[in-house]
Amino acid sequence: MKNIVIINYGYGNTYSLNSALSLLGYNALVTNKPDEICKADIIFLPGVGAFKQAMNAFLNLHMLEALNLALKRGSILIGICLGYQMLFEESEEFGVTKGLGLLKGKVVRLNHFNNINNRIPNVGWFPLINNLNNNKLEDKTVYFVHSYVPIVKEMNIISSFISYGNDLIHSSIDTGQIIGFQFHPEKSGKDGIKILSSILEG
Amino acid sequence: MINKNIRIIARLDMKGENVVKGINLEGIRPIGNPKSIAEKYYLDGIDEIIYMDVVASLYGRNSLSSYMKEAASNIFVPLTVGGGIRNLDDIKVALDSGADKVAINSEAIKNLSFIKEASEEVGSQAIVLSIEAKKQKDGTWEAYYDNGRERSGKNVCDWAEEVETLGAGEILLTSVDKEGLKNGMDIDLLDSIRGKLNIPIIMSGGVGSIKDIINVADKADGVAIASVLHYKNLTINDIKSELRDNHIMVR
Repeated sequence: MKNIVIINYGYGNTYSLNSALSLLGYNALVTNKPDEICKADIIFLPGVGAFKQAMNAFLNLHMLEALNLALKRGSILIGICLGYQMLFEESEEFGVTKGLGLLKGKVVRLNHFNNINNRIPNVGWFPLINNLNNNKLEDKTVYFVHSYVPIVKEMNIISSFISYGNDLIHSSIDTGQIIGFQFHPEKSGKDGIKILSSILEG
Repeated sequence: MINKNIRIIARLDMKGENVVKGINLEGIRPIGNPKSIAEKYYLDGIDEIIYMDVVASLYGRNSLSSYMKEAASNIFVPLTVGGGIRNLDDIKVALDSGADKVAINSEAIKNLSFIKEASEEVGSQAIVLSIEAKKQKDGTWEAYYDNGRERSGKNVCDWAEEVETLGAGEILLTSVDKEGLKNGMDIDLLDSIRGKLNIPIIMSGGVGSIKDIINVADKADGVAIASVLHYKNLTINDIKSELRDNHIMVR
């Protein structure tokens, strides 16, 4: 049985994510203890709220070292929504705040794209435009709620786009070891559950 | 041209342990058990569920947490809970129990700084400002609270703009005049505020047919429906397939 943890640092819907994993038959540990994160095979970093407060809360719990150790051991890291944004170098939300820097790129406000017809926050269900050959995200429509989005520098890790006005925004990444979703798979009905299932089986 | 899906949202008015439904937010009748009703709507393809506690009966007790947890254990679409959210603790209890958003009305009217504090604490995306609008003799709309019973003295358009500035992430706009009647939504109300806001608007009150949804689809970001689902006049599948036939995008 894989050792799965959901990092609990006060800024994520851990209850719903854990419920979705239970539905799939996985028993995840919701934790903020570095030693438990160290030992995990699969680490979920959920997130909702403001980038700066979330980063501070995360760093204050001294989990960064544990996360890096786990990644060195080959653990899989899955960032969701704000947790996805935190994987990058920095965010421009309320001034510039440093992120975890695991991936190259920065997080920008959606008005960067200058689409007058789109609301901020961007809330709703969008069909994913699959960008990798692994089919995990093919024909999936998922739920987004966000005001910021990463601009990913390494184009070859972008696993999906969604169309936002005339632009395509970077809705997910997959490096093989690090996976990130701007959307909420745990709130995306059957399609979201299938996506979670394909990661955990893969 | 609408290039995104409109959200079809089930609104469950709650009293104690039951889903209820009224007319003009009054004269409520019991509909049934929230767990079985919400799970059915989820399996039928609803995009989102709003639980609105019409008598604020669940707060100050542990039941808010337990019924949200029960819902979030089996329903994997966004869940909003409102009616009696009074402080940051209420919000945290709801979000920690699996809710994604809270809907706030009365407390925002009584305490202007509440929306700002709440959105700074948990993020704008979790804060839905609920407005209960009643048309006045001069043709404007006034915001009411306590389930359409109390007047705030606030003009709905001005209030909506103000709460957007304060950090609300969405507006749930309920027409008290149309609510429960199943004879169409208040399109004039929606028109009067649509151009002034950048945040999404969920329109609520009056859906009796699919045409009522079609009529607001190019202006509202989401449509809340209740009676037609509760009384089984329409299924979610009926609604979505007919919207698609009318070139309106849905999930």
